[in-house]
Amino acid sequence: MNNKELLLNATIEEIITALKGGEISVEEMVRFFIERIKKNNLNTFVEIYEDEAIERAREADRKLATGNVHGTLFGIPFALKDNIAVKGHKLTCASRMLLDYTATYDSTVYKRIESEGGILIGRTNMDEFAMGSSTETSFYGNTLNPWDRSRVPGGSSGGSAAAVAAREVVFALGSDTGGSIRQPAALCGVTGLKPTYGRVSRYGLVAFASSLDQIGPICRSAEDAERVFTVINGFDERDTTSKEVEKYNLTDNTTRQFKVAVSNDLNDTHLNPDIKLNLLNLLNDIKADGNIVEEIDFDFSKYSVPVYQILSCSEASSNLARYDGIRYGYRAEKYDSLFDMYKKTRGEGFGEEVKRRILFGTYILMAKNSALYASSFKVARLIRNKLKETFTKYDILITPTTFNTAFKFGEKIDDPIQMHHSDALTSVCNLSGNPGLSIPAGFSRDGLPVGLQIITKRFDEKTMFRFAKYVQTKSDWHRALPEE
Amino acid sequence: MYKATIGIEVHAQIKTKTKMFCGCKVEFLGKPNMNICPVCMGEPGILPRINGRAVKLAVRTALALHAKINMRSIFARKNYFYPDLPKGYQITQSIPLAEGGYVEIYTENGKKKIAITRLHIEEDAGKLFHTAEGHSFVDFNRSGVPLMEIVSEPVIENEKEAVAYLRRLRQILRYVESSDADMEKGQFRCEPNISVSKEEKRGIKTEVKNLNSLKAVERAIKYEISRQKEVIEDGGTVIQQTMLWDEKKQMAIPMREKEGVAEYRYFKEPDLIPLFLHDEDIDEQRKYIPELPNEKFDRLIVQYGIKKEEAEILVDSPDIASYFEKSVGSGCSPKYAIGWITTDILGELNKAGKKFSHIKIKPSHLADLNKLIDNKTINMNIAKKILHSIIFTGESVIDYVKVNNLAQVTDENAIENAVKEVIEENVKEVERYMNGEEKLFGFFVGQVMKKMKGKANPGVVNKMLKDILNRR
Amino acid sequence: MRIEKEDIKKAAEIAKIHLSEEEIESYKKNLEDMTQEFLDALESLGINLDENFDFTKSSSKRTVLRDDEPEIFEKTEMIIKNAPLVKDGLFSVPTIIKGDK
Repeated sequence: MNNKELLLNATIEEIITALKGGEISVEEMVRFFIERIKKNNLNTFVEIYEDEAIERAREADRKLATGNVHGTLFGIPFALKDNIAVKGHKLTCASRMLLDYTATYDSTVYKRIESEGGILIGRTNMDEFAMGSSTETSFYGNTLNPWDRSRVPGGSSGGSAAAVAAREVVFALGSDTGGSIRQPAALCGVTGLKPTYGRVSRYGLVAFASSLDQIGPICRSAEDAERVFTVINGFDERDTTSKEVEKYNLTDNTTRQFKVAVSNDLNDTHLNPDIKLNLLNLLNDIKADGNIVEEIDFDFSKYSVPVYQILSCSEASSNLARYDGIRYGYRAEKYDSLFDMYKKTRGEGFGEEVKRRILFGTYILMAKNSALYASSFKVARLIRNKLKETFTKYDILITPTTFNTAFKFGEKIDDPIQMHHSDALTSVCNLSGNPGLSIPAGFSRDGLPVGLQIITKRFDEKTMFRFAKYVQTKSDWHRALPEE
Repeated sequence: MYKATIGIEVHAQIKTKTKMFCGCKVEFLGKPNMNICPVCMGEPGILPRINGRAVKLAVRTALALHAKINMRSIFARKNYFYPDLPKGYQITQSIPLAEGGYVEIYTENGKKKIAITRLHIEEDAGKLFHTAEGHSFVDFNRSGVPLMEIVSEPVIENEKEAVAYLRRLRQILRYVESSDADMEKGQFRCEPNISVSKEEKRGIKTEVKNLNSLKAVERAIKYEISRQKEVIEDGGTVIQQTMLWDEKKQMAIPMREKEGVAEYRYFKEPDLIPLFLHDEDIDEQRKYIPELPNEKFDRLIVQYGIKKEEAEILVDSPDIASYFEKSVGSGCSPKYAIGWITTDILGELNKAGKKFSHIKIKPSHLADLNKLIDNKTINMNIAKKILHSIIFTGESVIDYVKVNNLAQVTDENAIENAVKEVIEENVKEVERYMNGEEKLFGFFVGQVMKKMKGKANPGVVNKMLKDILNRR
Repeated sequence: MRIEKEDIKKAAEIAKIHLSEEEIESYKKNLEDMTQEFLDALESLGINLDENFDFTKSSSKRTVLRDDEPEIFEKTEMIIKNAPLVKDGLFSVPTIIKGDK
């Protein structure tokens, strides 16, 4: 591998080996990626911390020189979605509301990555407050899909997914409330993990819907995703909804037979035929290896979106109440009283989609509608139980990640209901708490990436990664690069 | 006949070093916005962490109130906008830490149990200051300070019961050391709701806020009951509203509501899992519950034969009660001890504006004084004089008597001489006395004591005066 | 499900968001669609609306509690610096005047 090939296609493990072997310096690597961000001009980043990153790279190089190399992510350039806090840096959620807010503390995930040697390159673009599926609601404008610049990268972690797909960083973190990691990962042809709820600390993640939000990695391969996951997972005393389970360790590479359930979403008439074809081919390969592959009756994608909307918007309406123009953030210029100040600040500071969701959530939480909110949990419980039952018989549940490949800018932005349905297949996992991983599974005839979603039982990311690594051996899709 | 029905909501600050959901200090000495952090300022991305000590103290309080503790309680969000509320919601509890229980009070008709509805944990808001120029300012030092909300059933019938309930509740919090419950410092805030009705059915209630002392509570309830009666008498209906007590005007003024209709959109706090308690947690707290005010009250009366009003004073402060019991333990009679403590020592402290902890005089000093009275070395007046002199010095009683030459004169010759002198010097008064003006006897006693510098045994003086006067 | 325009206005009032008449109209339609979709989903799943459904169940049985030990946040000036309007270390807000309800 020459250096460019290495930087574009190697795994994190291979890059660290190359660093240790002196094949390339950390500074060279950091400069290489920052150059690409600028040259590609996909609007993936909302801010690049060039000086700081180079400074840290030099520090890492000094350590390399003395052989003092520690850390699972030593020297690895990465990016954070613009809703994850790093002390002293802006944290804006791509919203006018927070353009001037500087984080006063570090998120737990950032601390963990930093202590394992990762080098932060910058913050990536996203849908405003993570509300959207196309990154079109960002205050900073659209992020372009590297596979087709006329199309959306998906969302809300569109900047992170596009940056990894275009090889502008080695990995990026996103957040996933209804599919915001997996859907853009699928649309950009990269690997994205939504961990089990409670696996990764949410401390420092700007809350959208607290009982659904999880931070997860977006990476080039299942191996990298697993490696980043080992760093960021684990109980955090600052997030008491994080679970006191044993910290995840890397799996060995022993292959074995899997019992695979396939959801009948594969037969849904809304499913893009190219996606279906790709997945069927893949399943045939898997079956040919002697794995059990059976279609099961699991069609919660029909119901997940409205339930997800009720639940997430309700919590969001409360989580976003703190943006009132008093302690930080945007404040309207003209107002004639306190409550006028609130209304104008929030009316002007939030974009349309955010206001829609706050309004919906507020309406749902009003006393007379309390049955709606409570009943959404009934469906969530139902899905959870159905998945639990499924995993008594199977190791893995497979679904497409999305019904469609990346769509054109403007195609859905004026139709919120259509846009919301981009989360149909992914939000099931958020409602149930199960982990979900989207991995590249081929391309449509017009050259757009297709994603396969792997779901396992809660806290069983081990089986998930074993299976993902096995599936990766069937193709080179995760190594495919968009044209530059 | 009108019947008033009163329920009271109390917010008591839980005695912790740090706030409910973050590590900021609970302290109001320094500058504004000093004890703040991203958590209690509701910055984006923060999460709450429950203060275990606050939970323990709330459990202890619930036990002292005889309440049923929920092994699983639920934190919830109460959503509303106000500048002193950083997150746009207050974390409170929907399933409370404890339910039921009671506080026993003494009324004119005997004992009465005031039932408790619930006790739950919540966080305080910041403080808002208003200026004349149309600006308000917020200080968040208080934001996130732990509170217990204790809600009574509407079973209180008048302002006297209300005050008795609050006084007893406050004592309980202090006994179990879960709150300092200082009303002036806002550590114990009372919001009574009051309704008046002629029928069984409860009338429309109003809530009164801004009550900074028990006196204010008493007056406000009295005011509100008579106001509501008047409204009904005049054929009107009471409006359900919140009133603010104006201490200067001594009246309750309707408050403009923050929002037309409260729509708090309560829902489970998704950032916290349920609060699970275990039997061990509860048993541990049971150990910290001392003899409670009611038990103490009953025991003191039975054990020492003191009056109810006296027992009430002792119960109000465990320090004073224990001082009393110690002085009796070292040999002072309960009758003397209670008088000296409640009248003399507390009176002196009141005058000096000092606290009970400032006194140097020991319980054994009271016993010493008692002994000297019993063996007739001093009389009661001298005893009190000594007492007042040594409250803040703690000097030995024996030494004080010696140094100041205060030992009583029982020498009958000396007293007889003094009596004779007084009779000779007050011929007119003696005449009037002999003509039936018997109250002048006290005057003669006073004159004799004056001559004896107060050290004469009053019994001897009386006897001798009577003898000599009667002989005439 | 039909939602009255008044409901939207009330929600906007509670959520403290200023909306134009146009926005109110468009949001009303969205909210009606979203609510209807949910009701349809419940119907197809055979789930009744249930106000009293206990959704507080948790898979954890142990609540992590914090010790009551101070953890001082040193950089309070960082917090204050983020505020749009501060005077003498206090956060400045307009006073509530008539019309605020």
